Amino acid sequence: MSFEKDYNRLQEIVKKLEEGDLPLQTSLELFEEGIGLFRRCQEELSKAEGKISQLIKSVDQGWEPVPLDLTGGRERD
Amino acid sequence: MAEGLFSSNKILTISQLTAHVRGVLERDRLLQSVWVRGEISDFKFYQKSGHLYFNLKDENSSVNCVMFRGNARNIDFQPGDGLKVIARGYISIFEKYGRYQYYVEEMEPDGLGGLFLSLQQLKERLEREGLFDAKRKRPIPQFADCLGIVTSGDGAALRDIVRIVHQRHPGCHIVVAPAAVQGAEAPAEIARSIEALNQWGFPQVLIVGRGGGSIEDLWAFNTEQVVRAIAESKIPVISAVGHEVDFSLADFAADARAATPTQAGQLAVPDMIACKEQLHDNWLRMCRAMERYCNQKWAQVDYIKERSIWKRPEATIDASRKELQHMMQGMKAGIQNNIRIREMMINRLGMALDTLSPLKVLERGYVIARLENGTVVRSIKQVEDKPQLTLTVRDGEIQVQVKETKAGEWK
Repeated sequence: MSFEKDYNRLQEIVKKLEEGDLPLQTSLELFEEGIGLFRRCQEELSKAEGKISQLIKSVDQGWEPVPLDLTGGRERD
Repeated sequence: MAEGLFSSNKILTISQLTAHVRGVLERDRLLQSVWVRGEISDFKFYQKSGHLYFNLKDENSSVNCVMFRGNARNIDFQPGDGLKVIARGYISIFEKYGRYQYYVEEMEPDGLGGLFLSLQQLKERLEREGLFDAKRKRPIPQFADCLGIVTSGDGAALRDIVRIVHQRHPGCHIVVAPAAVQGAEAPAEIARSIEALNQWGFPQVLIVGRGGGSIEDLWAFNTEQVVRAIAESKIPVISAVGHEVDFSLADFAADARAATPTQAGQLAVPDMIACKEQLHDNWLRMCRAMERYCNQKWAQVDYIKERSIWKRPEATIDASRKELQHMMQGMKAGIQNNIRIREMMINRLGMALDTLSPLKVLERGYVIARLENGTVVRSIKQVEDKPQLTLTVRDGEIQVQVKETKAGEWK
């Protein structure tokens, strides 16, 4: 869940920069990091292929998700 | 006549009579395994034997009951006076008092009231064990992108959750571990599915629940098996047992409770549209902060540029020279002052020496007596051989001969 980490770090950076009493070098580094974080978060947010799976027992006795189609169940309601 | 009466009938002892009644009772198939419904009264539990003694009664009748330790161990509620129960057992006779008794082999609380009673007792037991402690509760992750769902595979609850989750977070991966949510198999299936999702390990949050239903429909979520599976889940659990008012035990054990499946979906994943807005907002704030920061730094540079040292460097040097001169003067004055103090100290010492000088003593009429070798005479022992002495007075010396010595303190 790197998004959560990235997002929280970005907020932290914004707060630090807004407080403003940092050396120039640090400010520039934070700003650069912030831009990177923003880009990564934006990419993460634009991913939109939400999958639905069902967990079934695999041959090696572990678990594996297989695609689940929910549209067929609509009539059973 | 009386004698005839006695002789024509068989006379039984009390024991024989009792044994006969017992035989009659024990041959009756109904009485050997009979279900009864009644209310407990006069309940007694004998710690030592582990047997339970009580009466079962209704409005008109009452019967003495015994439940032996072996059977009493298996009841999963706390019996007591006034409790309505359903029991199964057999009828026999307690020969000592010739009293018929109901020997209870199984017993459970009667009706919905009984169900609630055992629920209450289970709740208290699990509470004592600490399964519902607030400190066990874990936070629901802020940005889950893999969600596990334990519910019926074809219920409305699943579709409600999927709909709201994909509406809020289109990229979220939803994994369903189906389980019957009512019926005898439900508790085991729900527990197994929670375990399966934990073993698989990818979901960051689980929703366990079902849509609304009657109290009996929701009962699986009040079972010890389901409560324990939720408490033992390593992944945080949101319970969604569809009823607004009452709590299920699953709700107490879960890390968060939702009243409906839809609400559970809202708790489980973030609203990514709001998130995008916030992200953009953060971006703007960061840029503004950086701009402001740079402006500030430029202002500082401008301020430094305006300082006089860049404009008239010689003025700064003049000032430094003046300061140096001032310091030199101060140093000189300091040294002079020091010398003066030392002179005064020396004068004072000279005066002190003067008062201590032996010449001062001679002035006052004292004399110094010396032997020929110059030793000062301090004791009669030095002059026992009556030598010549030289006496020094203020203005010269006198030669004298010792004639006599006499010991004694000088007065």
